[in-house]
Amino acid sequence: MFSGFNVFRVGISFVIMCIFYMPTVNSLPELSPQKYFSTLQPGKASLAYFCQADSPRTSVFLEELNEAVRPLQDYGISVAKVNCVKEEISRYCGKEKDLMKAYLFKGNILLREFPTDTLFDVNAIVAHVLFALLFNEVKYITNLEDLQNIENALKGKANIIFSYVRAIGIPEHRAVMEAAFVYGTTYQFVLTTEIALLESIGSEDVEYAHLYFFHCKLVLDLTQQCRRTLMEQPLTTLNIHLFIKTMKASLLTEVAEDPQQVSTVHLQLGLPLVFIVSQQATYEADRRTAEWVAWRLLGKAGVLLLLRDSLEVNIPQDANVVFKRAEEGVPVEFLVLHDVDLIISHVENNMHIEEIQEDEDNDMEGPDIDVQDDEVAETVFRDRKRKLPLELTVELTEETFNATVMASDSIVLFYAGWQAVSMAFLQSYIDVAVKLKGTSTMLLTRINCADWSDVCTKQNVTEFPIVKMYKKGENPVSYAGMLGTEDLLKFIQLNRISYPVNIISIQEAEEYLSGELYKDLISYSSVSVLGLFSPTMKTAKEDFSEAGNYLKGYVITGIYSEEDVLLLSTKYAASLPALLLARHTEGKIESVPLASTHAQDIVQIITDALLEMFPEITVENLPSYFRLQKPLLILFSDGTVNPQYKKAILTLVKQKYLDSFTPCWLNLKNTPVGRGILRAYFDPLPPLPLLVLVNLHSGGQVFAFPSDQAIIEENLVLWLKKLEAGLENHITILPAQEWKPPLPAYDFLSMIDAATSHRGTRKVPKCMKETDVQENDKEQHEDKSAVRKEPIETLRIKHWNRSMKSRKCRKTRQRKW
Amino acid sequence: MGLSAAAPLWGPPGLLLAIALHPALSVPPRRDYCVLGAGPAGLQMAYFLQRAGRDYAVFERAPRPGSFFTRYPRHRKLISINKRYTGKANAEFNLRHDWNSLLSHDPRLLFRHYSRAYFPDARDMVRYLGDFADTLGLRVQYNTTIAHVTLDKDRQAWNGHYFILTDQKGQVHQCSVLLVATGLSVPNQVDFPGSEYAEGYESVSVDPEDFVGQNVLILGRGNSAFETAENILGVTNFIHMLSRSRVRLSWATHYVGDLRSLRLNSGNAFGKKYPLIRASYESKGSRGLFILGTASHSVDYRKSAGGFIHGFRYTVRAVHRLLEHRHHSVTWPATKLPITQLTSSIVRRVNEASGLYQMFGVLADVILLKENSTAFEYLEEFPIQMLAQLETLTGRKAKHGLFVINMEYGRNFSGPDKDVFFDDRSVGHTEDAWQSNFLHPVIYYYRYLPTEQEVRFRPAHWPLPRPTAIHHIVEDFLTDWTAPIGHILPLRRFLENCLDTDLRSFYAESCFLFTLTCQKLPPFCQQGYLRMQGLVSTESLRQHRVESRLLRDYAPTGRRLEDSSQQLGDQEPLGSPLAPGPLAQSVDSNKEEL
Repeated sequence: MFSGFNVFRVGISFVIMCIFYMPTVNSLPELSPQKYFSTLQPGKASLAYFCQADSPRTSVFLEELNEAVRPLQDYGISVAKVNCVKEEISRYCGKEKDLMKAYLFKGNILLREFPTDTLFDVNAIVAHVLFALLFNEVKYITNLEDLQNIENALKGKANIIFSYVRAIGIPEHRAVMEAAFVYGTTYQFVLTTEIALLESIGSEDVEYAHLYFFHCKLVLDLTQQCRRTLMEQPLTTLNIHLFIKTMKASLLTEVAEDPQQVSTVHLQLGLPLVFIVSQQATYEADRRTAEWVAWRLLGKAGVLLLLRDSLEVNIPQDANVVFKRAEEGVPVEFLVLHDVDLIISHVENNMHIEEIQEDEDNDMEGPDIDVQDDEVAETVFRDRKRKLPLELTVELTEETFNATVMASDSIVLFYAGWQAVSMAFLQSYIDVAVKLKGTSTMLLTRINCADWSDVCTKQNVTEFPIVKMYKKGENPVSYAGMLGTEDLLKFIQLNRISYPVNIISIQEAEEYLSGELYKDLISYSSVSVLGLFSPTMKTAKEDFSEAGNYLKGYVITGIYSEEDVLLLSTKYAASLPALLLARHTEGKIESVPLASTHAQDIVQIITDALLEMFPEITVENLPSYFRLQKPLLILFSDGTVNPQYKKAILTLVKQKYLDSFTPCWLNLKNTPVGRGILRAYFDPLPPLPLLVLVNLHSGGQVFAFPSDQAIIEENLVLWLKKLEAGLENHITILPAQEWKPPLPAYDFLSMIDAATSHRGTRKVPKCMKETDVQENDKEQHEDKSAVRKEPIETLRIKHWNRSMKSRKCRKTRQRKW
Repeated sequence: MGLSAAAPLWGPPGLLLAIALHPALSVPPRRDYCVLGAGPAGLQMAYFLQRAGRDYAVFERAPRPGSFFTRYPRHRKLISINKRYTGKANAEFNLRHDWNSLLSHDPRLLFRHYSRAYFPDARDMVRYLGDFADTLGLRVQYNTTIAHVTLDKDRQAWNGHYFILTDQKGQVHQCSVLLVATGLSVPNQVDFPGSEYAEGYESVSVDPEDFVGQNVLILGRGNSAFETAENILGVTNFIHMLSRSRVRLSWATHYVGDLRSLRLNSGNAFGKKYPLIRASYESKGSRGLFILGTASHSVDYRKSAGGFIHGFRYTVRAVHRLLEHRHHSVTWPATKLPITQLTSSIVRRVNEASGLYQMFGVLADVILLKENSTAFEYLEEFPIQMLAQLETLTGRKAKHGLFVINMEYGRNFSGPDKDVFFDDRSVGHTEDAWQSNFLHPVIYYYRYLPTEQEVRFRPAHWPLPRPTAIHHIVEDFLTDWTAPIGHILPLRRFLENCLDTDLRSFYAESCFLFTLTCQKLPPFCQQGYLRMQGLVSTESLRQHRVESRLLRDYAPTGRRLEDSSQQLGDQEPLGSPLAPGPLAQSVDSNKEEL
């Protein structure tokens, strides 16, 4: 119909470039009616706004119209403002000022008139104008019947692009119209604003705009429905364009060349390729599978059938799928996937979704720096409305603080109401109160340092949160454990008695070691420590007492120094002074000689003794093992560790094979975050269990024990030897990047400079000149307040540290997601 | 006693103190610190000296403290506010609205216990000051008028000389440091050409009618001067306000204060234009001589509170801290904290500190970074004009960069001829924070301690030299700067970018993941989790974490984005705290907090 348009349909990419990257410098021509009509050319479309000469020179509508000049020009549509002067009255000039309208002409034929309120912004202007011009190419329908009629009519002939937008004139509508301008002759465009229609074809999330591709051309049997592919990206011109491109590409291609070299339109569009490896014998079945996969992945990845038999390069024998990422230079992956769903999910999990920014005002450069990216702050904020049973703890004030902590043994939480970490921990604290309700002699209290700053300062609290224990006759003790319910509860429970416990008879000592004496406490301390001293070892006893006191709340300690101490030391083969360590879970009692009796050393001996030989590593205990500075040998297990494996590793420990490592295992059921770790190590993830050596302290290499080998002593020893000899290759190296600022900050200094220079009191920095030019331009026809505002808008320079080299550690992982 | 060789205290202007040879005929009692005047400033200094266990004495000519307030202001109504209820419990914060109390550790010595009036009666002030001195047992020698002050050179002395004070009975006091807190009451003996035309405040008419159409020169600038000026402002042609100290340490000031609009023509009559005290309140002429209280107001002549109790109580404390370091090797008090507490420590101070608030632009907090920015020292209320000398004055090191936290009103960018006050404009957006008009915190970052040159030749209207980076916390009418998105988040981003690190907080689970998947850890995990002090999240917070992750790339028009936001394609959301990058936030949450 509009033959003139075809010219512009050449090279859509150029058009899109223009739309999104050309600055809107063209301004709205102002013409008299006579002049305007003389410019109209046959076959060319033109939009004109007629207004009274004495109407205000600026209005919201004119600003929007001005902005629409450039995009409409790209479609060959000229735009003008026509001033109705008295001398040349045109019939298009309305009688009254507020009845002015915009008119769309083709040649000098009037196509449509628009009240200005329908053209509420630049999107509406472009959408309406194209909608009017593409009347035949875009069918507007309101019910399912219309849709079915169109569908039936086009089966075997052409494909349909069906879209739903919430309203005419919104950005999504404009995007569809722009796509229709380009593809309207190839596909039948169908548009609706009826939500019911969308629902009736089975769409979900009907509040959003939808675009479907109906594959009707392939349908030969008229009773058959056209296949539909839903576009999953937001409705923007660029996304629609990319989507249609992938629909146009052939569904399945057969290739017989090195997958590394293959390139299709998908790669150019940033989509990965999936090769289904086929061989002569199974060709038919493979092809069916590949087609099935191709339909499922339509719009997400390109699918190819790779004919192994005629291939010159070698691919691993067992691989049946080859995955090629869109990013350049990334090697292809050879996969063994026995299920179509696995292929689909692999692709979906590895899609590198590059968000294509096309916000014209460029306000959305990268992530928004005003958006919270601190997980603690964010979760506390989200949880702020939940009511905590705060009444279970006593709220202290300046007036009540001293009296309370003097009157009874108390735990005090010092926190600040505005600090997220404090408030996150307050929840755990309240959980402790819930668990202790009515059972503890310890009073649980809290004080908000935002209110009672002086009290906190007097108690030497300068950071938050802090937990202190106040016991009669003792100096307050700061809690130094994990800020969580479990550890704090343990601390409070263990502090029901004083340490070290003074044991007065052999019988009591045996009860103590067996766990009988403090039955209710040993669940909080898996080890009981008993210091054995002869009555004369005064300094040693003092040092031990100091150490025991230091460790109170973390481990049970006792002291025995009666005359008959030799009976005990003989029984447990310990020469005095010595420590007896009773491991209650294992029912074992070990003795450790006390060579040095410095309190500090004793503390160290005891803390070391608390470590297990083959512990289950958890979020809570990793730091105490990490401290040893040895590579971790971790067995990842989905559930409890297999006793066979445990036995094998413990044997190696005993044979001193693992002295330079920290062997441990991780139960994914207890520590689900372990999956995140495995994903960082493996891709794809082999079946569990997995044994991994992580060199955390030097180099960050990760080595994996071959998953096809049994975890038995011989294999482990062999593997360790190969590791030692440097014969094993690491599967990955942990990134060593520093933690940089996650996002830039507002650069107020530049803003201040710019504002100063804008006022002419400072030299204009070079980079600012361009904006200033524009500024000056605007100043001429904008009122003063706008001018004053303007520099601030342009100065929201969010990138003072443009390099954004941040977080490579995370980036590397992102690639894998 | 060598009186003949001594210059009288109110000697000719310009000559600060005459240096005299002092014959050692008798050994007078020697004090480390002598304080002149038991008014608010003198008592405040006495309090700090007493608490520090220093050897000091206060000399007061009247029989009781605060004699000024027994006579002035003549209307008996103080212009300093006494806001007894602020809706907050924070004692430090409440001092922002208590302009009469002196600083002490004793909550009974707060002025609100002495008066219920918003503008209290001067008699209550007298009673308050008396109680302050008595309750705290301050060592004040009443009925002692110091008639002469001379200098006695002595190389052994702290400052190379002793101050020799002679009282009305001829008793001599030898002092290592002299702290002058005599206030600026109307001089008893004005002595300049034309002084015979002066009329004393105590006798001047309080009826404005008597001043109609006259040019009035007001000497002195205490509350009394304002009271008088205000009274006659409407009827006079022109008011000049001038002042000098009672001890005639001849300087004149540019004081404008509340009468800013009067455009004072300062000090020409006395030929001396510049104040002779440093920003450290020490006399430029005589080392060891400090000016406290109202008389020290020249330091912040353009601003305000330094001439009032609610301002000088802090500057006195600053002077005391400087002295503690200079003479007793006590470094300026500082709290050393791990870098993870940086954001919080600033948020805490800007929300409660009264000294920063009252003495904005004069006293500022300073954060000294430690090597590698893993820790920092927090110094409160340092006189910022002395920033270049910070190391020698405080005994602390500023080798690795520093932050200065100052409170400021909006700045004038448009030059003298333009109206900077936009109509009804207050700033609500964080990106416009630098244009805040009302008193708001401003944080300066310096990679190196500025030099004296840089402080002196700083840009016009800047309280400090040009920093490496600057941050404004957007103004808030309730001076509550605790909004997570509006105040704390932009502050953190600023600090992060200055220090080139990640200052976010993380739950232990995230730290666990980072420990096993990265070679380096963010400071929060390093200083908390790895020291077995990780933050364990509760179940409900964990839920929110999962949810916030789902919302991560939330875009209202794109379902695809929503799906992809499950970064790991994860069936098990608990295992996905990988790199909590930017979390999306529901749009309304921003509004709710503000």
